[in-house]
Order: sequence, then C-alpha cells, then structure tokens
Amino acid sequence: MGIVRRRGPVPTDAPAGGGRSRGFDPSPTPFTDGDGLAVVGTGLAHRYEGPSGPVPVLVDVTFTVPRDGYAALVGPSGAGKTTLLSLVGGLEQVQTGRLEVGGQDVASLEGDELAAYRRSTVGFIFQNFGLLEALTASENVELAATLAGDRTAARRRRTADLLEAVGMTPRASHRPGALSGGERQRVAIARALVNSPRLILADEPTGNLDADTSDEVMHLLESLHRDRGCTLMVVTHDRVLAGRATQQLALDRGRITSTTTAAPGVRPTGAPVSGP
Amino acid sequence: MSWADTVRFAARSVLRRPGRAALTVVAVALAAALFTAMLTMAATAQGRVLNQLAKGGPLAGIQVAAAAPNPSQAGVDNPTRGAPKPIDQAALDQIARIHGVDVVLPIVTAQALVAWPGHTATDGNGAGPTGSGSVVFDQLVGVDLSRLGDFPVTLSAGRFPTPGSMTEVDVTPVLLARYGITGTRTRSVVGTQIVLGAPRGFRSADGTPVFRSRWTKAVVVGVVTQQAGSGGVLASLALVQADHRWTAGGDPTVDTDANRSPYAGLFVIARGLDAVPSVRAEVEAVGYSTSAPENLIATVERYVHVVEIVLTGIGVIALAIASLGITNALLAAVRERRREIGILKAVGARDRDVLRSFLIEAAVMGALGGLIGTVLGLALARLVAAIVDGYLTSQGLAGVHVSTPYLLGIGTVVGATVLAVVAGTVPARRAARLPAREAVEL
Amino acid sequence: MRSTRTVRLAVASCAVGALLAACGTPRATPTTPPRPSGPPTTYVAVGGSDSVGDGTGDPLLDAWPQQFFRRSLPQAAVLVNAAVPGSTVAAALGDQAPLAASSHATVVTVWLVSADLLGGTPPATYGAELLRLLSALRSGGATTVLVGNVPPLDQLPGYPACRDGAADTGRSLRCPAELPAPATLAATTAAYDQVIAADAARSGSVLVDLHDAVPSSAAHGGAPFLTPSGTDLSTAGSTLVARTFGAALPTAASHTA
Repeated sequence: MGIVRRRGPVPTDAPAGGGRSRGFDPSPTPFTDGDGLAVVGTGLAHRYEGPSGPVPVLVDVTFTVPRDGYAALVGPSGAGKTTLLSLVGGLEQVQTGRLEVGGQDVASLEGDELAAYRRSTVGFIFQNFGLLEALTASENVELAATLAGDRTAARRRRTADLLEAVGMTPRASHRPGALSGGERQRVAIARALVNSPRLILADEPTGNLDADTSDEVMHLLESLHRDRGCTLMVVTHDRVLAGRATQQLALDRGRITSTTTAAPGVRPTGAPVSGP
Repeated sequence: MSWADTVRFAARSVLRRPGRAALTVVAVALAAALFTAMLTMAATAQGRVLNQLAKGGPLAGIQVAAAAPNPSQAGVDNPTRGAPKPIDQAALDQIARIHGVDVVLPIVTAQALVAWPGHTATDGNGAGPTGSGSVVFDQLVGVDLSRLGDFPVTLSAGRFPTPGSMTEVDVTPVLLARYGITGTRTRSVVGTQIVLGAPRGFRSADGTPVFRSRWTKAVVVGVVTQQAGSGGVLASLALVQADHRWTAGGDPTVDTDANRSPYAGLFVIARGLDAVPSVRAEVEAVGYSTSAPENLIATVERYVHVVEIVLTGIGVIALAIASLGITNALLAAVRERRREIGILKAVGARDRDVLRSFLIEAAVMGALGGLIGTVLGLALARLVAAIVDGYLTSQGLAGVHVSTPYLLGIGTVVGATVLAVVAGTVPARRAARLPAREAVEL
Repeated sequence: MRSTRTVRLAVASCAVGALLAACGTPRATPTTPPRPSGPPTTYVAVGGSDSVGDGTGDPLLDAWPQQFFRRSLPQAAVLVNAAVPGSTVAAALGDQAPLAASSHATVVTVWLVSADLLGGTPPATYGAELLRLLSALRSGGATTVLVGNVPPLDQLPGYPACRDGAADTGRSLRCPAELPAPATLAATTAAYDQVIAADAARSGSVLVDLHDAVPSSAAHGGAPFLTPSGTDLSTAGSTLVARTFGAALPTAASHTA
C-alpha cells in the first residue's frame, strides 16, 4: 500500500488544493499545537429519551487524548463508547460538560459551524462502512470534498491519490454493493481522509470483518495516523486490537473505569511497537 | 455543495428507485396531459366558435352595405338597412381614411345566369320553360382572392380560385341545393364545368326589349360558405367586375333591376375588436349601413373565458393531486434513507445541502412529468381535433384547426415543477432536520 | 457510467423529438395553379332564331353558339350572343354588327339564311348585304369570321313548317303568303350558297359548308335535324351545326386563351 504524504504546512479548515469554498464554512481556531488535535473531555454526561423517561448513557466522563495520540475506547456493549465517539465527532450535541478538540469548544458549535467541524476537522469511519449505495467508490470518497465545495479537478486528483493509497484504484468505479467488507472499509477510510482531517474517529472499524482483513485495515489506519500525524480514536470491543493503541480508555455503564497509557515505544498491552 | 453537484446527487437518488420515480412522474404527466389537453381543446373550440361567428373572416371585420343606415338600429349587430345607396370609389376612399380602419376590401356583385351542363335545377326556379333545366338565375360575388383570409369565407371542399382568375370559381352550398346536391355530395362538383351569363338589356331597332348575355366558362374549384355578399358563386374581382360592367351598361329602361353601384358592399377590417364600435359609427356617419357580430363575439368570449377558468381549475386540482404523490414518495424516501442522510451529515453536509437535494429531486420529477404530460396533452388534443375535424368536414362544414399553444406548454412544465417543489418542501425539511447520529444508529 | 449516460441522452432525445412532433407542422394552405396566359377570345354569334336555341330542350345551354363556345373555344373565351330571332342580314347589319364591334370580337359566327330565304330576299341582294356584313365584322382582318351556308332545303329551319301550311313558325319567323315551289326554292338555295361562298372568299371569311354537312331528311338514321314541327333546329341539330362550325374554325383561333 502507498503512503499518503502530507501536503504543505499545517492543514486548516480551508479546502486543500486551493479550491474555492462554497457556502458558509467558517474557519475554526487556527491550530498551532502540532498536526494532530488534543481531545479533552470534562464532566461529559449524555442521555437519550427512552419510552419511560431519560436513559443516561454517559455519566461524568473526563478524559484527555493528547495530540497525535492513538486512543482505543473499550468496554462491553452499551458502555457508551459509540456515544462518546459521536460527541467527539460532532454527530451528537454535547448536553452536559465540556469538550475541547484542539482547544476549541465543540459544545458551542451548532448548525453550519458544526457541519464544518464534521467536514474538515474530523474524519469518521463507521462500523457499517457508511457508504452511499447510489455512488461509486470514487464518488463516495469525493463526497466529503464535494460537500466542502472544492473544485472538481482538485478533488478528483485527491480522490485518486487516496484510492491509490488504500489500494482501491482498480475498484474505483464499482458501487459498494460490488465490494467486499474490507474493500468498503478501505473506501470509507479514504473518504474520511479526503479533507485532510486532524482527528480520525473509527467506530468498530473491524466489527464486520474477518481477522485477516481486520488486521489489514488496522495496519492501514495506524500507518495513516503515523504518516499524516493526526489523532486517532478507535472504538473497539476487541482487546487485542485495543492493545495496539498507545492509550486505552475503558468504559462501563457510561463511566470511564480506567485509563491506560503505554510507555513510548510500548503498547498498553506491553507488546513492543514494531513495524510500520 | 455546489448547485451542479447537488443536481447530480439528486438525480442519482431519483434513479435509485426507478420504479417509484417512474410512477410518480407518470402521475404528474397524466395530470399535466389533462391540463394541457383541456386548455388546448378549449382554445381550439373558442377559435372555431369565434371563426363561425365571424363567418371565417377576421373578428374585427365590418360589413358595409350599399344602403343608408337605419337610425333606429344603432349598435345592433345585424341591423335592417335603409334605402339603397351606391358605393363608389370616393366613398371607399373616405371610409378608408377613418381612424381605426386597417383595410377596406371592396365587394362586387353581378347578376348571372348559371348554366351547369349535366345538372338539373330541382327547386322549380330554373331558367327553363318549366322552371327546371340546367340554368338558374343567381348572383356572382367578386372579392380580392388574395385576401380571402380577411373575408367571412370558409372553404369546405376543394380550394379557392386563383387570385385574378377569369376561369375559376367556387360555389356555395345554397346554389348546390338548388340542384339537389347536399351533404357530402357537394364535393363531387369540384372540377366540373360551369357557364356564367351576365344579362344586359337592349332595345332593338323597333323598340322591342331584348336581353343578350355575356357568357364565360369556368371550372368549379371549390365549395365555400361565404357571407361577403349575396350570391351563390364566388369569383375574382376581375371576372365579376367585367360582368357587372356589361350588365350596368345596358338600357336602364329595359333592365330596371340592374345593380349599377360600382361596389355592392365593402368589408372593413378595424384595428382590433375595441375599434369596431367607433369605426361602425363613423361609417354610418358617412352614410352607409354596417353590420358586425361585435356584441355576440363579446358575449361568447365572456362565456368561453368562464369555461377556461373552470378547466384551468380542474387541471390545477389534478396537478395538485399528482403533487401529493410526490410528497408521499419523498416522505417514503426520507424514511428509507435516514441512515444515508445521517451519513451525509456526518461527512459534513449542512442542513440546507440536504434540503436542496430533496427539493431538486421533487423538481426533477415535476419537470419531467410536466414535460411528458405537455407532449401527451398536445398529442391528445390533436387527436381529438382530428376526429372532430373529420366529422365536421364529412358533414360539409368547415373543420377545426388546432393551434400550438407554446405558452401553455411552457406554463404547464413550469407550473408542474413549482407544484412539485412545494409538495417536496415538507419531506425535504424533515430530511434536513435529521440528526447526524442517524449514521451510527443500528 | 457510459451506458447510463447513453440512456439519458436517448431519453432526452426522444423527449425533444416527441415534443417537436406534437407541435406538428402548420396546416398547409391549398395551393393554386398559375394563371393562364394569352389574349382572351371574344366570340360574338350573329344570327337568328336558330342561334338563340329556340326548339332545343335547354335553349340557354343547347343553342348551337353555346355549344360551339363550350366545345371549340379556349377556357378563357367569352361569348356574346347577339342573335335576334327572325333577323335578316340587313337587320343584323344594323344592330348585331355594331355590338360585335363594341365587344371587340375576335371570332364571329354568322348564320343568317332562313329569314331572308323564306322572306323572298333575292340572292343578289342577299349577297350584297352579306358582303357588307362580313366586311364590317372582319374589322380589316383582325377578326376571324365563319359564315354558314344553307343546309339541304328540307332541313332549312322553318321551311318544313311553312311547306306544311303554317302561317308562321312561332315567335319569330313568318312564312311567306305564297311559298315558292320546291324546285324554285331549291334553285334559290343553290344561288344563296354561291353568293355566300363568293362573299366568304372576298371578305376573307371562313365558309362553313352546312349544305354538305347536314344530311337531307331523306337520309336514314341519326337524330332529326329539326324539331317535329319543322320550325327550329332540334338539340341534335344544334349540336351538328356547332360541330360543323367547330371543325371549320382555324387552328390559331381555337388555341388563343
């Protein structure tokens, strides 16, 4: 697999390739503390409305993921992992507490600002791949750049590069229905990266994949995290995969029960870092 | 997201469910076809009715008779006339100078013996000794054949005579009825030879009155219904003027009935229906009686307008019902595509990006349905008109002509599109308000 | 991708094509042929009661000048029937010849024999008056004049009626108080034919030999030339006269417009 090299200086919310931004797309606070973004959550709480009243999903969650960090959110089903990731990714509105990404208060974002945050700051990878069936692989990757209003030539160039990086160039014109699970996830990864986000969030990225494919996908994610220098947060129920991260946040019934940070060069499970 | 990208995305979304999209488009198309067909047929019927009222001539046409006006009949469409009064060139020129007059067309008539070899008059008025025979006494009507569109003349078989022709004439169903030729049999006279004789009175040397006729041969090239003048034969001005001069040049003590007015009448075309009343008043001030179906036309136009309003209402209701189909289809699409919309939001789509996409989907279905429906509606109107035309012409009447209402077609497509967009507003707003978390919900 | 684009293009083309087809073409106005060209033929018939169709079934249509006009002259020709029932050549010189001149006749037929012959006009007098008439009608050569001679005596309109004792032949022709003997009349007929032929030659007119064309009543077959009363031409007789004049018409005169 090829490796995507970062273009130019620190990426901001302006579209890559010099494309003209369309519509309302405010620039967030310029990031000056490195390539990745630090994620700091303080006293986060979240609840859903159930048939018999509110159901707490997160209770007083406080955590920090350093910039360029690689964190795994682990825990049993219903622990609140996906909800926490959704809050960080801006898919859910923060109800209680404070959430800062790269020093920016995410809780204060709404409407177009929140959409811009999701579009340019975050790259989200879904468990069920999250590809649109009506579009080809190439068009799915290009979608985020299209939403950013980038010029056609520039975004197509970027799309082609990303597809090559994830090894999907021969299947670029195929629709998701014609791709395997692993291939779809690669396309999803490429899509998550098209706007050069500084924070990648992956919700059970290997949940629907076999062991070999899971390994390949995780290798891809990790190499992109290292080479592009962006913060990576992964939700997984697989302890082995969680052990590949430099930081593990364990959740249970909406609370962080433990935070494990590995020494530099050593993964939290104790296994040494090796290989790309 | 640019408009072009939004349109492309919307088109892809429509084609994902081709069956549903097709059904929705068909519903809009049927409504648009109904709307277009009804209004086109209404316009065609209006044109036919008004044409019938104007006897085939322009609506703003006024007939001027060689007679004085009747003061007690002012403002009446078809008044009784006063005493005969010849129309000469000076009177024609004076009338042509009246404000509001577009053109003045002269009408000349001449008495004629109509001799038709192979045909026998059946009305007892033949010129033969027993009132039968091939010759009847009638009148020729001469008009400028290059301006037949301006006269109340309607062709029902064959063609009009060549302008200026001295050897071609048209005959009227009234003349044909004198020979017992009616209905579809009137077409059979086209191409037959007819001989026309203009009588002239003489006094022989011993004072005996004698009539000598100037005879011409002509081919009957068509059958017409005409209100330009009283007569069963329509011919060129040149032909009829020659006969008129022959008759008028006779001994007035022998032929006391001969019409010596240079023009038997005039057909005046005003510059629009609004000018007709004032032009009529001025012509009557010059001293001639006029007639025009202005009041009747105005009344008919009002009633036809009411019919148009009703038909438009029916058509709009049909389109609105079809638009509800768009609402239903899009609401179903929103329900089915919750996750997809959530993903769009998750990768950075704004609320208005989603709103636009769904509105464009609605607009595409509306526009496509409107376009197909307009084409179908026009075709249907033409089909109905062809059937009606065939029936009318089989009865020896003038047919109908369907116009191509371009504005109606454009309006239908635009209207269907607008209604579709309105119908798509509720589902589009619902889709736009869906939260991004729909992307992750199982 | 390519097939989808092709399908879209095809659908769009069909839609546009259908729209254009529905719009249709304007209704074509009836075409009219070009006007005929050439100088008009004005035909004046100079004659007596035979020329106005007395005795035929439909005089206005069956009179022999009408038949000659319809069959032998161009479509744009005009006929002025100047004939006066019972007219002699002398009378025709007074009222029919001026009408022919004022009508600018280009073709004139002359058949005036019964009134003069049965009225006892001597052949020499008849010939002189006929020559004046023909010369006047010829207009210095501008007019084609056809002059008919006398048919066989028993086919002369009016003669059989007078021979059988009628006082007159109806509204126009009076029988002489004493009808000459047949042999005398036959000789007079022959003399008339001679002067008619001579006058035709002298004036440049075309002689129409009815004496040769009309069979005598003794000949068998064919429709009768005269009406049963013997006073007038029958319809068949008018047709035969018209055809004979038509056959004698010079080609140039028959082909002008």
